[in-house]
Amino acid sequence: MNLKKGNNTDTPDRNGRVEFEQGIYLDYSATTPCDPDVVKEMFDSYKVFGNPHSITHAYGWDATALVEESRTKFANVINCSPREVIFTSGATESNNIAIQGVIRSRLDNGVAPKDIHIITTKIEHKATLETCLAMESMGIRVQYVPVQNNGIVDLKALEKAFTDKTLLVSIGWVNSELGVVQPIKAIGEMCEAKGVLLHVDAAQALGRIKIDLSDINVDLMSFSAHKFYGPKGIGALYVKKRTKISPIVFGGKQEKGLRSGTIPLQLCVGLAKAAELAENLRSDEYERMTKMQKYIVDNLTKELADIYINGDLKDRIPHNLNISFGYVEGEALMMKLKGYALSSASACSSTTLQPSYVLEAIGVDEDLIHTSLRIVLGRYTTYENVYNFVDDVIKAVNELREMSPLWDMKKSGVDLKQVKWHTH
Amino acid sequence: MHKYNDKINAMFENPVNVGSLDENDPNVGVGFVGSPACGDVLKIFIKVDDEDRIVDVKFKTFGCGSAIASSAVLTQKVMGLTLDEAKKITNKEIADELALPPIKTHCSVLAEEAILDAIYDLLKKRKVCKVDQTG
Repeated sequence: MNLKKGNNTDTPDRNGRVEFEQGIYLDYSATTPCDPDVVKEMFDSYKVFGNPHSITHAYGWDATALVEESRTKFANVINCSPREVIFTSGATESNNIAIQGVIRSRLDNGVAPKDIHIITTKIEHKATLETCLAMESMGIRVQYVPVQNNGIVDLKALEKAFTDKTLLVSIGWVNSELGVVQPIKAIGEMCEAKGVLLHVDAAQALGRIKIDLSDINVDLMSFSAHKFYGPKGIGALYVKKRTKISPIVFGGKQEKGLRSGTIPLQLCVGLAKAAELAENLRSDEYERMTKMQKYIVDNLTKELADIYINGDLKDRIPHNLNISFGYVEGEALMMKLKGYALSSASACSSTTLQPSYVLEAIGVDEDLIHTSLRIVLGRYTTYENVYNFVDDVIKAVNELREMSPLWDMKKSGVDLKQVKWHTH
Repeated sequence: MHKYNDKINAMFENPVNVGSLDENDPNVGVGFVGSPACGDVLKIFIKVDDEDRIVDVKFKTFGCGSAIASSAVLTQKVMGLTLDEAKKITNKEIADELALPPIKTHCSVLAEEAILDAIYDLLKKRKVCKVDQTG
């Protein structure tokens, strides 16, 4: 096999700084390792131990100063005012505060649940979908708009979904399974024209695409530090000034009363440092990932028949590839690729045995829904990793196809759609 | 992906009896169960001698690691058995042998169904042959 490897260079100062003793990590959408620079800054900040909410002594003042410094750093990265940033435990909590909070503010003002309508899509993260489901059980009306087969929101379908009762649209910017990037600017314009609030889950977006809140009309945006090489357990919610929102957790009224609870100072330091680093490296990383993605796609499609990329190839982050390998089950493929940490939307690899609702929602053929592999590249992925990975995937797929009865049928011209299956 | 035990991993990595037998051979029965939409398809081939003893067995499986391991264990278990003995194989024997996690029990059920389907296929084939001979 003659694979063209090109003159690609890795980001030298990032290489070898994180140990991957249990295999090459290609699951950067699940989480990312905390960058050593972030760890160091957090470690150094542990000498400040005061409660940022203690206003009676210097320990508290120092802590407050550090929290506010972190808030300003983070606000600068996403280009908003520090007063518009509240710290949370992560994107799940941010999504809950955003969706439940704006609904609650209307309920507090005497609006009946049935007169509140919100719109989301069928491919959102569970943190959004389950929150919407809980809201439905309270009598709130929720509409789940379909997405196109490429995973991108159908703007016409979205526009049709608005009613005179629509309060909020909640949409993820970058889909965690597919890596597709939604047209948030256009959706923001649509929401602004209709006087509807827009909440965007940007957990998968920061560090991957440019986030400039002065350039888009978004009212609420969720973030999670561990998705951009920061610590786990902290996130943020951008709340545009003058947005009507009520708290859903009550207590000491920290974070403008919207998120009571003592602020985890060291985690704030980590989040801010990680966000700055991710933004500084973003464009170089984007370019590097684009080359790696192209190498993977070009070589796999050249060497293997019947492989399909799920989600739009153009409107996606270059870090993510979601590929269905026909006639090969996803979990078995991951087991063959045991030197790599990957994920699959195959039912067999889930704890519920249900196939991915995201792949179902974009109309992936039922024959292919169990054959997907999600490959997500990140900061510590090297070209060498990618070259070896491609070789190993080709070998593994060919080996599994050799033992797949479906591959035999395909080779002898059987149309799997016409087969009567003995299902159990 | 599930964290499997060493037995499942070993059988997945070096599965025995992968392959196929001539489906047109009157002494070969083929079991074919599952569906791509469910995520596993198992095809098993058994060949018997004149005394209905299984003398060769092969399989091909589309499925997860435990489906492949269960298929291989099934072939190990039925090799050398008579059809009557093979009929009595239960999914529990396969699940126990591999210590399958409970969520993967259906893989062993599929294996049990596959051997029954292969025996049925063989008997059906013979019936047709006999009818042909007398007719």
